[in-house]
Amino acid sequence: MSASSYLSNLQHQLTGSLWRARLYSAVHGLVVIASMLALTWWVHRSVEEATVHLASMMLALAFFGLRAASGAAAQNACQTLGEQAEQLARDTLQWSWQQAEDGSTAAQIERANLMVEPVERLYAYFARFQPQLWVACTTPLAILLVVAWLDWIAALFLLLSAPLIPVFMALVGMGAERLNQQHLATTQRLAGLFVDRVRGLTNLQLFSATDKAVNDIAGAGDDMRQANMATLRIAFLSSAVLEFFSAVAIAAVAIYVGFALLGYYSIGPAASLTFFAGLSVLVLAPEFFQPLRTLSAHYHDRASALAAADLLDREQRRAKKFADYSVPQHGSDLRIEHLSFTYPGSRLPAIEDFSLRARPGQLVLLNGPSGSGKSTLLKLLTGQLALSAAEAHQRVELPCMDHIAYMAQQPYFVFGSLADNLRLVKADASDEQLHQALAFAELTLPLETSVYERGQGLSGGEQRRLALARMHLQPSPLMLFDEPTAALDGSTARSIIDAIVGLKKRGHIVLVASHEPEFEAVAEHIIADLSGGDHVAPH
Amino acid sequence: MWHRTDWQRLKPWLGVWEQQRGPLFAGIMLMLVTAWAGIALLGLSAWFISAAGLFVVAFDIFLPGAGIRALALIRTVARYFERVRNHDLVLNWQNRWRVRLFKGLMTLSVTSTERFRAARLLQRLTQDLSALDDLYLRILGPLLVASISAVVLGAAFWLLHPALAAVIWICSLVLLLLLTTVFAQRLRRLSARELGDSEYLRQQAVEFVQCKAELHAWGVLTPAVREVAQARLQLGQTQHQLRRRLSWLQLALEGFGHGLLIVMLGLAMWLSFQEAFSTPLALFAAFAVLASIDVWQPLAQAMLLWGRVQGASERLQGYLRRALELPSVHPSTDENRPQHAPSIQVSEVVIENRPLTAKSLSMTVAQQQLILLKGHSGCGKTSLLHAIAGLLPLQQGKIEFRHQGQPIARPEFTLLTQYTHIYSATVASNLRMARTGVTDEMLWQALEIVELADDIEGLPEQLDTWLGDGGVQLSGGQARRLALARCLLHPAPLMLLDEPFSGVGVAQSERIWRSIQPLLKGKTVICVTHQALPEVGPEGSDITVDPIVQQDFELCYDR
Repeated sequence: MSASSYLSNLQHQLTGSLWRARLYSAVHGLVVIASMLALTWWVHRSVEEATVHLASMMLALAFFGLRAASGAAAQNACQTLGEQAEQLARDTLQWSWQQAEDGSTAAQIERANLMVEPVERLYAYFARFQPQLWVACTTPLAILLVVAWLDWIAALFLLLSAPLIPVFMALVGMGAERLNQQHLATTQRLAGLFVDRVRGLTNLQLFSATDKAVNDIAGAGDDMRQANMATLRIAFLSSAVLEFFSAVAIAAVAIYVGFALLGYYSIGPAASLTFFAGLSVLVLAPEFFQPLRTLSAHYHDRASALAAADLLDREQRRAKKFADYSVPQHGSDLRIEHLSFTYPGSRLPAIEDFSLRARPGQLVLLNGPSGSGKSTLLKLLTGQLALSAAEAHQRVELPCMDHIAYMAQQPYFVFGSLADNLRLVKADASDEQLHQALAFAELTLPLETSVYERGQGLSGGEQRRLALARMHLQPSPLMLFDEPTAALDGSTARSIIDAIVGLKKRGHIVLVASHEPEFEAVAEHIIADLSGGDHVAPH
Repeated sequence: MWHRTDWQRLKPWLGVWEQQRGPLFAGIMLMLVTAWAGIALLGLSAWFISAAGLFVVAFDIFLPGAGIRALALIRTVARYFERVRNHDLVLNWQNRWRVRLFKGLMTLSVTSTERFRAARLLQRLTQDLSALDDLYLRILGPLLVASISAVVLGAAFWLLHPALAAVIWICSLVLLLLLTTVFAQRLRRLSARELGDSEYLRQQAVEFVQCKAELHAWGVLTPAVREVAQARLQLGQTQHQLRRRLSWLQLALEGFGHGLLIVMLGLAMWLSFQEAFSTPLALFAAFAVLASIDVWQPLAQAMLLWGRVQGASERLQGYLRRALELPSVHPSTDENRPQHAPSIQVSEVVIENRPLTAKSLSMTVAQQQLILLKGHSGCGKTSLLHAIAGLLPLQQGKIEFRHQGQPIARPEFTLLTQYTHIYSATVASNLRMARTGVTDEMLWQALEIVELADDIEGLPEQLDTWLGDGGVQLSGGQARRLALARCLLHPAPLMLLDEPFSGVGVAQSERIWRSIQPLLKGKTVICVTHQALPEVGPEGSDITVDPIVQQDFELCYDR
C-alpha cells in the first residue's frame, strides 16, 4: 500500500512530464495510423492509375517521416519522464539519508545500494509502463473509429474481440499469481542457495563437503528451473491466448474483407467496400491489438517498481520519524543515567542500564570487545540513534556545544588538498591555525599535499594524524575517538596517545573507544562492557 | 562483434551448447517458424485482399482464407513452444554454468575464498551469471533469425524478380554489418562506462552512509552531499547518453525498415505494371517486408546486451583468475591424514599477511593439550591458528607436528572460524556437513551440550527445520553454538577454535565450556578467546587434559 502511495506521490510531482509523455505517445499512435492510411492510399492510387503514383507516394513518405519524428519526440518525452523520476527518487533518498538515524553496519551497505538498482527500476515504470497505459486506450479507440468509418462490420469484429483480451489476461494472470505464491517459499530458498554456498565456501572446504555442495547446487538449480518453468508456462500461455484471439480476429477481418471485395456479401457496407478501405482495415487490424500486447509485456515493470518503491518508502519514513531529533545538552558534564538500548528486531539489548558521569578533563575508555556496545554508545551520543522514550529513568545529557569533535575509525576525507580537508571542519581557519593544528598532530606535510578519496595518497598513520589535526583545529567540550590507534605502529600510536592526553589536560571530556592498553593508565573511567551480560552483535 | 577475442571470452560458456545441439537446433527452428509464419501471414492477407479487390487473377477463393487461418494458428502455437523450449534450455544452461563456476571456486585456496563473503562481490557474481542468459535468447538467436529470414525472403523474391532480391540482400547485409560493428562498439563503450559510473555512485553512497555519523557530529554534511551529487550527475549523464543512443538506434532501425518498405513497394508495383508479375504478388512482397521489420527490431537491444554479456563473461573469469593468483596454501586434501593427536612445535614463525614489524613467534603445544590463546585484538591470534591449519603461508620459521616424538604430516583437523556461517539447509544437514552418517541421536547429544537442544525442539520440524534464507533465522549466539556443535561432531584429533563463544553470554559460555571438556579429551586443542574461561581441572572426574593458559599472547607487533 505504502509502495503505491510512494509511486503516486512521485507521479504527482511529475504531472507535467507525465502528461507530455502520455500526449506525445498518444499522438505518435495517431501518426502511425495516419501513415498506414497514407501507404494504402498510395497503393490504391497506383493500382487505379496502373502506374506508381508519385504525388501520393510523396504523401506516404511525408507521413513516414512524420512518424519517425513523432516517434523520436515520444521516446524523448518518455525518457525525460523516466530520468526525472530517477532523479527525484535519488533526491528524496539522499534527503532521507541526511535525516535518518543510523542502523547497524550490515544494513548500511544495503541502504547504500538503494541509490543504484532500485531507483533504476523506477525508470522502466515511468518511461515505459505509464505512457503505454495511456496508449493502450487511445490507439485502439482511434483505430476502431477509423475502421468504423471505413466499414462498420469490420469494426464490429474488433469491438467484439477486444473485451476478451483483458478478461483472459486477468484470468491467466491470477493463475500465474497463485502459482507464484505457491512456489514462493521454495524459489526463495533455492535462489539463495548458490549465494549461500559461495558465502560459506571456506567451511565447505574445511569440512571437505564440497562434492555434496555441488550436488546441492545442481539439484536446487534443477528444482528452481522446474518451478520457474511452471510459472513461465502460464505466462507464455496467457500471451499465446492473447495472440490467438487477436490472430483469429485479424484473420476473420481479412477474410471478411476479401469476400466483401469479391462481392459475396450484399449487406450493409460490405457491398460497397472499396479496395482502399479493405486494405486499410487489413493493415490497421494488427495495430489495434499491438498496444495491449505491449502493455502486458511491460506489466512486470510495474511489479518490480512497486518492490523498489516499498524499500525507498521505508527509508523515507524512517527519516521523517527521526527528523529534528537531537540529544539534550546541559551544563558542562557528560551525564548518562540508566541508559538501555536495543536495536529493533534484536532480542538482546546492546546497552543495558549503563550510567556514567564524566567531568571536564576526564578520559573515558571503552575497551570491551566488538559487540560490547561501544559503537552503539557513540551513535547515541552523536545523535545517530534515537533513545527509546519508554525508559523512564533514562537520561543522557551532553555538555553545551554546537558540534562534537569526532575522530572516526575511518575518517572522512574530501578529494582536495590537506588544507581543504582541515577547513572541512572550520571553514574560516587561517593558514596560521592550520599550521598549528598540523604541528599539534606532528604531521609534517605541506598544506598543498593532495588527498584523494578515502584518504588515498596518505599513509594510515598520516590519515590519523590529519584527523587528529582536525580535532585540535575545531575542539569541543566533548571529544570522541573511535579506535584512534588501530593498525598503527608503536611510535605513531604513542604520539597519538600523547596528543589525546594533551587534549584531556586542556579540560575536554575525552571519550575513547580502543583496545590499546596504554590508555588504561590515563583513563578516569574504564568501561569493558555496556551490554550487561549476554551480548549479541546487532545485524 | 567480430573480434576473435570476444568469442574466445565466451568460449567457456559456449561449451554447454555443443552438448545440446539437438534442443538448440529445435529452439532455433521454432524461432524461425514463428518469424516466417508472421511474415507469410501478412503477405498472404495482402495478396488475398488485393487479388479479391482487383479481379486480376482467378483463384480458389477458399484456399487463401484457410491459409490465413492456418498461418495465424501456426504462429501462435510456434511462438508458445518456442518460448517454453528456449527458456527451459536457457535455465538448464544457467544451471550448468552455475555448477561450473562453483566447481571453479571450489578449487581455490581456502584463504582466497574468504573474499567471496563480501556482499557486493556476491551480488556482482550472480548478476553476471544471469546476464549470460541474454547471449542466446536476446542476442545470437534474434541475430540468426534476422539473417536467415533476410536470406530466405530474398530467395523467395528472386522467383518474382532478381531486383527485389538484390534490394533485400544488399540492405540486410549493410544493416547487419553496421549493427554488429559500429553500433555494437559504441554501445559497448557506453555501457562499460555506465557500469563504472554506477559502481562509483554505489561506492560514494556507501561512504556517505558510513561517514555520516562523523560529519553530522562536526555539523558539516555538505561536502559529502556534494560528492554523492557529483557521482549521481555523472551516472545520470552516462545513462542519458546510453538511453538516447539506444533509442536513436531503435528509431533508425525502424526508419530504415520503413524506407525499405516504400522502396520495395514502389519497385514491386512498378515491376508489376511492367507485367513482370501480377499486382497482388507485388503487395505480397511489400507486406512481407513490413512484417519482417518486427524481426529486426530486437537487434538494437541485442547490441547493447552484447557489451554487457562480454563484460560479465570477462569479470566471471577474472574472479577465478585473480583468486588463483593470490598466494595460497591448500589444506592437504589427502584422505590418509594422520589421525593422532599431535604435539605442535611452532618455531620462529613470521606469517606473511602480517606487516613487517611482526616479531617471530615460537611456542610448543604438547600432545593432547588444551591451550588457550589470549591477547588483545589484532595481535595475530587468528593468523597463528590459520597458519597451524596450513591456510596461511609462513614467511619464515616452521610448524612441526609430532606424535610420540615422531614427526608426522599435518593431522586431520577441524577449525571453528571466527565468522559463523549457517548454511541455508536443515539443522541436520548443517551438522552433518562435518561428519556424514552420524545418527540423529548423536546430533541431539551435540545440541544438548551446546544448550541448543531445547531451542531446536521448539522449532516446527526440529532437526529438519530449514535455516537461513527462506527459513528460520537463528540469533548470533544460537548460530555460534550451532557452529560449535558442528565442530564437536568432527572426529579430527586436532581442534582449532577461534573465539568459540563470541556472542554467547558469559554464564552460558562457562557452562558450555565445562560440558564440552569430555569431548575434547584425547585431542590437541588450541582455543583463541578474549574471555576468561573457567579452569577445567582435575575435579572433573575423567578429565586428564592439562590446561595451560598462555596469558598475553605476544605475536603482536612492537607497540
